[in-house]
Amino acid sequence: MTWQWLHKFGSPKWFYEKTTGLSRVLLVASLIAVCIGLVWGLLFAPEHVTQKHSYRIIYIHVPTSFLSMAGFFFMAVCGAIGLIWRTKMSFILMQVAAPVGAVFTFLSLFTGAVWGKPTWGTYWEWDARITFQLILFFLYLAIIALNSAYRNRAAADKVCAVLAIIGSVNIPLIYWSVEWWFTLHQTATFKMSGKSGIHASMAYPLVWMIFSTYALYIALILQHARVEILSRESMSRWVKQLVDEKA
Amino acid sequence: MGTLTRFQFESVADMLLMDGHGFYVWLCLIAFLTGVSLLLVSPFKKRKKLKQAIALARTLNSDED
Repeated sequence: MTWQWLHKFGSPKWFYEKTTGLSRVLLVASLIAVCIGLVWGLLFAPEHVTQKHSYRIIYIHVPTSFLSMAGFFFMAVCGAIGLIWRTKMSFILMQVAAPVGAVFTFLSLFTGAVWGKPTWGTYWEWDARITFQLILFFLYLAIIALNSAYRNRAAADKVCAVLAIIGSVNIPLIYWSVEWWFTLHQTATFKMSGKSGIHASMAYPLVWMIFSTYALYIALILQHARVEILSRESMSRWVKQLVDEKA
Repeated sequence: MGTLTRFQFESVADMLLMDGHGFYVWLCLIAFLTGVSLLLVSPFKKRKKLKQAIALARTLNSDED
């Protein structure tokens, strides 16, 4: 009885039906929230004393970097659940998280490089954090490539899950690289303990953007997962009925 | 609260230029909007194709019957 919710959640049909309204509402709400955050951060937050206006890239770079790491961790957890309990939904969520995470990781690298030019005087440096972030991007691409290389869906899911779990070792390396090694990349703007190195007037729009981007990420995962469900269950009666109803 | 709600530029040109940093900031914004747009559009396009394929398969099967 205790685990009944997990088995329900593991059913693609149940997931599809339950997320119909939620996915649309969350998508619209998160898009509005992201727009508010961008306007707030790029136009209304005060100018930085030393970095001037270029620091505004933080409102795009930090949220996308957070999601690139959290997204991979999410994939590893889904992969592990899929391997242990063999739930279809876990593998579906893991697979759709790969392209979404790859785009966020690319955005993190790209915005970091663009921010690096006016701040450090270079677009690229083989700094510990940047290099581990690049490895993360390649891991996302490897999972996408592996998924499409296998004809056998179950085999593809298992191999991708194993790679996601092994690859998640990279996440703490990225997160703590600025503490463990002397690097060009600055240390964390927000700290779990102690005083954060950012003024409240700049921190509020950043916190807003981080939460909004998390919401957008969840909305995107739901959208992609719902299509993946239709694709995987296309031979089932309920999907055929759904298509007939919509036609 | 004043610093949270004050528009930081004196004109549209000032906003676009950002004292020479506008290129970097707006380039990042364009990249972000492009990436998010791709992620938004792709499931809708895939869903449309998929539903057409399922409907076509249904029609072909009913013709055979």
